[in-house]
Amino acid sequence: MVGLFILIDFSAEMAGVAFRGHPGESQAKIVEFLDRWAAPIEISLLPVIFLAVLFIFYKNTKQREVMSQIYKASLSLRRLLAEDGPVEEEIALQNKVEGSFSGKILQDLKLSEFSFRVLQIHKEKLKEEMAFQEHIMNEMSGLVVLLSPKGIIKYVNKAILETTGYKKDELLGLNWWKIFYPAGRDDPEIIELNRISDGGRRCIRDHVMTLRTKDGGERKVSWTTGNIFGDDGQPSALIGVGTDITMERSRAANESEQEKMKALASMAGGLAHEISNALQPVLGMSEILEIRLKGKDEELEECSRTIKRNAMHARDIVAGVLAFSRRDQKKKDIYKAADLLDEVMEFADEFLPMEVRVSCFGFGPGDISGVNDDVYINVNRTEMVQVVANMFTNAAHAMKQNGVIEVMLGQASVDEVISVSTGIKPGRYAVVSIKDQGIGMNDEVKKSLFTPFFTTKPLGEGTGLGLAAVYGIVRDWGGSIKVDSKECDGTTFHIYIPLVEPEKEQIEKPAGETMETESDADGAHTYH
Amino acid sequence: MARILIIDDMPWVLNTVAMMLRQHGHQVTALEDSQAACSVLEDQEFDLVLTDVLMPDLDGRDLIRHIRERSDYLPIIAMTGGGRSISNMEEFFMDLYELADSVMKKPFTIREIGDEVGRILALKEQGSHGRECSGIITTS
Repeated sequence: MVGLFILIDFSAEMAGVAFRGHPGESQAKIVEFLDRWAAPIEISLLPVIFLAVLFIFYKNTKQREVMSQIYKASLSLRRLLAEDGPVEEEIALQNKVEGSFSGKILQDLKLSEFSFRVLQIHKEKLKEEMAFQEHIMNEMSGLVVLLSPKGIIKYVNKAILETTGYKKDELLGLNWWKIFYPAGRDDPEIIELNRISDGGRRCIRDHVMTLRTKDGGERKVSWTTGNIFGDDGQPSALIGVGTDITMERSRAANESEQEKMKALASMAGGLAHEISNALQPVLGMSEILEIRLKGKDEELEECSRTIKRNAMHARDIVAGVLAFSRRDQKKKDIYKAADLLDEVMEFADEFLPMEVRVSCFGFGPGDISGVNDDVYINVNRTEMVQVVANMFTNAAHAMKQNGVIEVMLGQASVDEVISVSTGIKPGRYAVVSIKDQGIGMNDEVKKSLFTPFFTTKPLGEGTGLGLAAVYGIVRDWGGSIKVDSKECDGTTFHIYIPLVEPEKEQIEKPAGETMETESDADGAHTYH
Repeated sequence: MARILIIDDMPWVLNTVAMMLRQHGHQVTALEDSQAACSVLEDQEFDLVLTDVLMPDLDGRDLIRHIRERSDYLPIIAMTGGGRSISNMEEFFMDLYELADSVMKKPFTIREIGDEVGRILALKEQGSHGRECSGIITTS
């Protein structure tokens, strides 16, 4: 039935077209014409009908009018062709034709409109979806990158830009591997990646690689990759999802460092305690021998003196180890940081050669800013001298005994993030920064800086206990030491000391008289 | 010349410190056992007590507490080798600084111990307490 209707529809259309070509002919002639030619025309014009259908399907609004005429003509034609048929049938047929044909046009039109609307909705949904995806991509902490099989960057999310410090246009369209791994195939990480991914044929999971940031820093990223395949079944893109684990690594490294130092301190402390006790008879008896032998046996007297000298040397080493191990807890008092530091400078200054000058900022008679007026710390005064003197000795050594050391007193808040990398509790700290113009340090030296018996000085010149002791002392205060240093670019030690509330009498006590001291024009107080 | 009681569980340290003090002319009683020291202190009078802090049975802190309960005027010098790993070390040392008139770090020289004993005894003579004058001795 459907086939029949379609055929009728087609012939009607054809007739409509024919009618339009003969508008002035009489009805009789048409009937005659049709009686004779209806059937052949119907068959021979099938292709035309087909084209007409196509035409309907691809019509525009203007064509709608044409189609309407076609429809009307087709109705007349069909009526003529079905002259013999019963009226009811004809009406039914007409209805059916109308229903199918006009409905079809309308349906097509509606479909077009509907399709357009659906398209619009889809477009909007797609837009919404894309915005949603973009939002997720940019808000997520994970790093997302899409690369072509050759490594050309097709997409990077915000986390990548934030982590690496690059802008989007500095990455898109460029080669990922060339940017981040300039050594190419020689890069050990690339060699390893090629090994585990079988030259890029296999995806990787939780594989840690270094991402070099634009400013030269390094981030450790754990990557998981997946391939996107094209119609040809070949990988068309590689999607990489990474997690920046630098902080976790840093936390783990810091914890492991703390553990190492703790174990070292425990061992060193125990050893130092035993040696201290063992040294007491050595030192004491050598002195008694020296006294008893005086004037009796010069050679033996000298022997006892040698024993004493070495016992004293051993005592100094043990003192350093004990300071590092925090086993010789000293009595702490609350001091106004600026006043204590100013006082300590006078002592520590004695450890410096004449060619080394010290400039102070944020404290001392030259400082009138008063920014550190409310900064109080709970420390041992003698230990503060020891810490600063050690820093000065090292600074002078790094500067080849000539230059300027800057000492600055400031304050800092330690948040959770800094707390992770330094291992100290979050809170407010006084920061004593000691900056030299020396040769700086490489990473190797920085790593072992506070390890007991580590020294860069020639054999016999340093015990390697100075900074180890400083480390122990500052940790005992509840603080920490941060080191900024680059080879050939000087070193700055930042000593973090927790702020404490002043004692009642310290608040009530009026500000002390300041000494008459020479001050620099810039407010810095200079010793020497 | 002062009457000094020395307590240290290590005999070689005890003998040495005793000899060092005798060198300064002091009259010395040397004991290895801190428990025994308590009873000796009941029977005899001393001008000063010099005690080790980490000892078995009754450690230096408890011994000093014991003495302080009986006499607030007997000067005490605590000797420490730096401290083995003990729990609540910070509290332990804070107590020592609080209770003792002075804390001396081993090893010390004849001159150092002589000077410190002299200083603490002088403070007693003056009627003031070493503790109030802070008697932290560093040997470095």
